[in-house]
Amino acid sequence: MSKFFPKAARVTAFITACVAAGVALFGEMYISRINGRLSDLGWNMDGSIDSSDEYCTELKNMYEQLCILGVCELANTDSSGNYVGNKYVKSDLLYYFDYNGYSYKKTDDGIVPYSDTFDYYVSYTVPEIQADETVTDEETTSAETVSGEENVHYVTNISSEIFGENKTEKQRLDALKSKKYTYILRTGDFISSQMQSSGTMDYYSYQVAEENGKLRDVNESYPENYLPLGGWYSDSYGRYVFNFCNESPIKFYEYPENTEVGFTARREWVDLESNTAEGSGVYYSTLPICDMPDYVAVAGDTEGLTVFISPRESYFRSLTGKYNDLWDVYYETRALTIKCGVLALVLIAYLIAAAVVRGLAGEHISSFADMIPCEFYIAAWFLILAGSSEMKFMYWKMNEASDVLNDDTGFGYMVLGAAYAVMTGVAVHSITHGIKLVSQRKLRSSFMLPKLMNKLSEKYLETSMYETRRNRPAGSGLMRRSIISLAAFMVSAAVLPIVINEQDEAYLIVASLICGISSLYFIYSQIRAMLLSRDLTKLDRRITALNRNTPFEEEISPLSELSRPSDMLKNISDTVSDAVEEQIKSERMKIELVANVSHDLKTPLTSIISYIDLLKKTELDDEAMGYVQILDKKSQKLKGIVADVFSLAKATSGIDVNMEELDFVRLFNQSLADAEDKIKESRKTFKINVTEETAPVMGDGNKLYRVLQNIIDNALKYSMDGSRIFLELTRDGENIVFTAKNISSYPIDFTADEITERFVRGDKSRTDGGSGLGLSIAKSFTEACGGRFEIQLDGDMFKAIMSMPLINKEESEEEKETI
Amino acid sequence: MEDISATILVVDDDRDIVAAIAKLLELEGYKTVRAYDGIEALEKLSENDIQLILIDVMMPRLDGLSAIMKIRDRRNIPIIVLSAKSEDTDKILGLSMGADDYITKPYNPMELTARVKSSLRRYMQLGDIGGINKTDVIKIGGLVLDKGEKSIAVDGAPVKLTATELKILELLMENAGHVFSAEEIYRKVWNEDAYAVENTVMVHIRHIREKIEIDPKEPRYLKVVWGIGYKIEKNV
Repeated sequence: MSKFFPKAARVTAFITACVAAGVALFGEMYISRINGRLSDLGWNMDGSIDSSDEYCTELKNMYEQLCILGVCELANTDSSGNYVGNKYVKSDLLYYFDYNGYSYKKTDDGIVPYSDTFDYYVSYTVPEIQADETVTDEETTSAETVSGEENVHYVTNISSEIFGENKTEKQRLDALKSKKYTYILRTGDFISSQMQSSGTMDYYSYQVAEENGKLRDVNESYPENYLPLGGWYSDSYGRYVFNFCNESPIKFYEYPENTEVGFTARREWVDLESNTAEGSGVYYSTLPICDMPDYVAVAGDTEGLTVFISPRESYFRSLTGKYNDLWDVYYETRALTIKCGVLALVLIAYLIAAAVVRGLAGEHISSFADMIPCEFYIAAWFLILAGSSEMKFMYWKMNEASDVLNDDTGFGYMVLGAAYAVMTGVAVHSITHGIKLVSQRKLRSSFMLPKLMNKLSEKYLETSMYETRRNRPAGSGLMRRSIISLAAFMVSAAVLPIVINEQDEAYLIVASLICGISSLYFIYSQIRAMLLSRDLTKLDRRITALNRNTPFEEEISPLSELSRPSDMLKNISDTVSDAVEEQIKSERMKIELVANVSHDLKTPLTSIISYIDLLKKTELDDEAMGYVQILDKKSQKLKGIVADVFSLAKATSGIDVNMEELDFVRLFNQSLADAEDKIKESRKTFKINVTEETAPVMGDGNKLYRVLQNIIDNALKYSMDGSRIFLELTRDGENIVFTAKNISSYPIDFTADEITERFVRGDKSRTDGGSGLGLSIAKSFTEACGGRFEIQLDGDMFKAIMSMPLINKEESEEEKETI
Repeated sequence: MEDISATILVVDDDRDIVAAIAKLLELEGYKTVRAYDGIEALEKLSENDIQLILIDVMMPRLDGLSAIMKIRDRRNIPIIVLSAKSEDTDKILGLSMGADDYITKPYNPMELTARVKSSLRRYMQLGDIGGINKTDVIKIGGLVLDKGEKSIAVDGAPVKLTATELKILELLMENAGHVFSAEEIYRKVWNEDAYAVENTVMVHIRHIREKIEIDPKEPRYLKVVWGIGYKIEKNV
């Protein structure tokens, strides 16, 4: 199939399509510009044609000018052609003309208005005055005709040939009416007009405002106040160029809204004349014709007035010429854009078909475009949509008025056209590229974001925690969701202005959908994060519970990524609690064993002691008595050892400890006092150093007493005669530390561990006095009460250190005080 | 006051121990009856006029505690438990079953005879002690303090205490169960400010214990609460 779509053809088609589309789109823009110009000339977008503003204004001004001229000047001209009226009225009249910028000539016979656009005729018929005089001045003619009882003064710019030999007013008017195909005619207060269509003539007639010589309240709207004038003219394409009808009539009488009915505007006029008015230049050309400063309208003033206005054909011809030129360009451009547009569409269809066919045939080859991530295409589409939105805006704006596109240079057009071509190129390429990717099943892989996320996910691969559902590393899901959330947020931010501003419903729906989906995804990712943090909290509680060896029943959902570690932790917890139970059980068994053994030892021991006692009371020779005494001593020692072993076993197991709050300093003093006799008997000096006054600790008083007693006994027993024994009770941070130091009377041939852990390890024992378990008991009892016991050996120096944690009761009380 | 003719029932499954104890008591002038299990003890008790029983706990056929319960149904004589079990819980159990005293094996023969004597004295004087109902007499176990006469008797035998010792004992007995620190005792007894008095007080306490306790190292009445102070047990 590929032979139908050679590469050269595709490239050519692509370039041609872009250029054609650029030309077509630009051409359409140009057409909208032509539309704008046509609209300036009175052509509406909906196809109908309004009156041209220029024409309407000129017509209105001309009409007004002629009416005022007739009533103010011609009515006051005597039969000899001289002005006989109030001189101020005439000056007012001239001033009024000047002020409004009307063109006129001042001749000896009076004021003659000038117009390129219109042919006019104005006359005033003065009854009962005899006059016979006609003044002709080149093309403009001022004439005075006397016919019978009539005295008519008139001014016109119409060639006298039209009138011919007609001498009466009526004859002249008839001649005018028959020669001109469109006109406005006022006779007295009656106005008629004639309009011409292509072959059809129509008439309109209206009363003017000054009915019976009086002004109507012009603030009210009377249909008679509007004077339509016009007709249809066809252009060379058969279209109507002019359409003067009721839709847009000329409005003759209009007061400024802020003035009263009547003559209030005159004041301004007077002020203007004397140049004292601050508001000089404020004069309304739409004042009623009777409202001249020194002219007071009187009933019947306008009875003799005749005004005839007719546009000259040359004017229409120039106007239609403009239209025709614009329409010529319009149709030529439109023909071009249609051709180019069709060409572009065909080529685009060809390219798309090529992409589809090649895709189906699997003939796509990788190209440079494959390296471009799809995100760029999506971004390009956003730009294209934004650009086309802007274009649409420009298009409609230019339709309404021609001056929107200020840059009227060729360069500007080229840039615009090029921009359209590029936009088309990008759009077409992205479509064909998309088809190619779909056919190659590479669409998914050509997105950059997933690749980026996969790359990042590799960082999470080292974890052993996996999400149960998707079997991916626990952290990567969180990362993915947060990146997608960010992207969604950015897209939302981009389309949000569209949601707010765009009027077009399609845009609105798409943008709202994008915003909505983004928000939903963001909320979803937040919920997932919350669930994760909740599960983490549960995991933490579980660890805490494990640490404190308390039960924890709260389950983590099996869907959570933390369910596996949680389950493992639960197993550990179960194992540990089993082990602890096992240990407690074995400890109990050990105690029972020791208790049983010691009981079994005690029974024969009881007999031994009893009979030795009896022996002592028997008459024996000295030698035998000596033996008995040795037996007595050793049996007593055996008794002590049995008791010590039993209590040591109990202490090691940690049971039978009654903790209460007590003062360690007092305990120390009591123990010292208790041992006073022994101390006195020994030939050793005690050096005591107690730095603390009080030292509250939690402990079993009986056991701690036993510890101190053992330490003191030990020091007394094994220290060198005549040496000093140092007992210190000091505070070290949060602990109270008791230290006993003495110089050993025997060489120390054991390690610190050996002497404190004999029961546990069964190390070699000493043969001299005591059970030899004193320090082991001291260590066990101290630890059972939560303290620490340590032996330090340094040459012959023997040092027993015992420390107990202080209750920070004082501190809390101090804190309370400071608060 | 001592009734030399008192007959003591010695019960233990270990015949050697029974023999030794019997010999020991006979040397002290008591008559003895021997039994080797609980059932036999009950039989011997009904056959003889027994004033005191020394009984082991762990025995065949009927153990010591059950025997004590049965004896207590019929007789009010003193019973001293003699056991190898030295736990506090064992002692409490024995005493609550109705025993008057508890001696752990291996016993000190001197202590054994002392306890036997004191129990007998208390038993013999039961009527007299019950008659004493004066308000200024404090009685805790076998310890009787007559505040008026400033005298003290242990199991009926008068004990000589110094004036200070008596004051201390009086203070502790009046507030039996309450723990006094050395400073409190000193302030109340000596009426002086207390400073570094632990030693002084402790010495007096030791002296008192030597006078009123049978075994000063295992005191029944006057106890040291280590690290806190001193007290007299309320219920003995």
